[in-house]
Amino acid sequence: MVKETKTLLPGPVTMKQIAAKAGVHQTTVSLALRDHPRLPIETRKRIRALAERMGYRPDPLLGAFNFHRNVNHAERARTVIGFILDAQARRCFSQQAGHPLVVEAARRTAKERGYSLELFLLDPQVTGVKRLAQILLARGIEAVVISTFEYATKRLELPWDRLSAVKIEGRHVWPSLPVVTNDQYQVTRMGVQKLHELGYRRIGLVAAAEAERRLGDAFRMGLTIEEAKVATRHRVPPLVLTDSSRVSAAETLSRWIWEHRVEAVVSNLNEVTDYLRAGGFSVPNDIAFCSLDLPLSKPHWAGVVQNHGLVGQRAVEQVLSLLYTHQRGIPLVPSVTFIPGYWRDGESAPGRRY
Amino acid sequence: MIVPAVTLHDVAKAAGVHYSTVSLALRGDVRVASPTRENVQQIAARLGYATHPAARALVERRRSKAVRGPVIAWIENHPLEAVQGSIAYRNSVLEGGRRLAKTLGYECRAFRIGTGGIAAEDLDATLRLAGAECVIIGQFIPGHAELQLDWERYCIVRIDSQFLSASVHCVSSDRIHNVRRAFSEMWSLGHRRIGLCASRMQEDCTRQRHAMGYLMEEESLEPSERIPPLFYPYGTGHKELAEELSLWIERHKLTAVLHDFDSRWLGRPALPDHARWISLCEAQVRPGFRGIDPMAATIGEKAVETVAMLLRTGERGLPRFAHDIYVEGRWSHG
Repeated sequence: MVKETKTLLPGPVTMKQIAAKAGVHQTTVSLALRDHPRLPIETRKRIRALAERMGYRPDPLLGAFNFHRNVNHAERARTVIGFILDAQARRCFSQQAGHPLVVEAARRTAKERGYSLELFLLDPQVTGVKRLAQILLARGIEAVVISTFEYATKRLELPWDRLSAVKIEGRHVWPSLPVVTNDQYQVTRMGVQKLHELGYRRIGLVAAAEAERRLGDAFRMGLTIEEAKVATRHRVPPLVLTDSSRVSAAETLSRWIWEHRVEAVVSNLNEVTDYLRAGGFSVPNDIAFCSLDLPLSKPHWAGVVQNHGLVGQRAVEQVLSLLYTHQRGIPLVPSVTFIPGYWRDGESAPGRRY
Repeated sequence: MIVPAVTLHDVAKAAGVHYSTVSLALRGDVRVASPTRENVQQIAARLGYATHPAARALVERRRSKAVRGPVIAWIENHPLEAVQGSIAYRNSVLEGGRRLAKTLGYECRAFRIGTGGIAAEDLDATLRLAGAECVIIGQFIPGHAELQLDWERYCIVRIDSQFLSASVHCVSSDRIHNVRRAFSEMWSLGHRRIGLCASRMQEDCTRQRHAMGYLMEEESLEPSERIPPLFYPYGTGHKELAEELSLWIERHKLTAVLHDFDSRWLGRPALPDHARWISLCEAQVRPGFRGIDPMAATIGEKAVETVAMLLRTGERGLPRFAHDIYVEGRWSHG
């Protein structure tokens, strides 16, 4: 009788059943289903094929329940997520190797999920890529987040086959891992749209050549699509500052403003306000300014607040998602996740009336 | 941010009883004296104790002895032929999603609301009945049935559908990358008169990302060399479009046309000998085409991967800041 019931209601196939059939321990089955590099490839293949034949399916609800339990029992040995920083990126983040808000949120998110985040500074003078690869292997670190890298870095040779990894920005760096980044397209479009709503015409964009290369022309593209609705004669060609032109930036900026009769400047470079002052412009009396990366220290400015913290949070969430689903190495198809910003009114760009 | 939930133990401590008493009391078991029961229930309510959705779903399923996994509802709001783009493209997206859903232990079921499907106002009841935990909004288009959903119940992701104002995470094709890649490939083959022909509807569904990439490529050209893109309006028939296309191609002396429509839908009007059609969405669906392979199956997989992550971490409803995930297409030489 009991036997019959069992055949009628077989229930889901368990790892135990697969282990019995394969003649291995349950742990081996678990490792094989996770495609864990600790097992020989042949063993993994054999057990996965068997599981497939037997109709094994993981239980997502059990996974969700376990996640919930782990979050509530955070006091246990914490697995380390590596956060790899580029020493040369210091000039992008006012002398720090990574964006402080990104790092802080990444650390918090890891902790909430029962992991710990450890920073590794990649500096050719001190710790090179080879040394870092050895450290990661020796420490048994399986998940890494790659922080922003300068445009000069084109490749990163780490043991990718053994790592679940995502990048923050850095679409220019090989390999093409999943990327999480601020949505600079949306941020720029929002800034330009809001300035239009406030009554400004002749909106000028100031961008840095290095950032534009690194971020795939996002600022100029956001401007172009918004200005496509505007009569050609009202459009202002963007001012792209190179490292060398930054030396005389105030002068260049003044000339550009006069030549194109710019009414409002949008830029993610907050030092533009210093250049404006040096050029004798008063904000907002002579010209309006809209920051595309509104800093915490300037709550009275108008502009777009970028969700830097959310970038760090999503990067950690994504790397954990890869870890949970046992995805290591370089994905076949690259993808990028964009995090939006939000608008804040301010006195640097008051509403205009004609 | 994840706040550790209030547990049975927290309620037990506050009520000064054993946690098993709390468990019984919350289920209204008569083995617990009614004053105690009420006291525990009040304290639980005050502390905000709730059964975790994952635990609830798990228990419900175990109880019903169901073998199948939780359901991902894949919802569309239009008859298939309303997509001027490619039906084959839509099918590969869905197929990719279904395949990964199965591997992850989910069951993926498609629903259509509006014309030829269930009434929009019945959607929520239908999904409850089906036991759906996750919802994928699959390529909604404007002007068709609207979405009425008890958002808080579900883990939700949309594919394209960016005209919807609800704050929902989105998975889409990386059209900026794709159109720029196609443009530069044709440029390196010696083409100098490259036009973009795109549907207003598709552009509205994807935040004008084909236009953005195309206009950026044109930035490097002299203003006199730039070609205004041809955006065809909602509801344009294939005959009208074919006529307008021919005029536009002739007027601007185009040698390459990047397009987002299904060439089987349009039929391809004859081009001058040296001119080429370059599809931005068909290369994989129709092998042998030169153009962009949008990696449609991966888009479906990413959508499923995203709702699965939301279910695991218990994020239901509408997030304050929704993110967009874009999948890069590949260039195919044909």
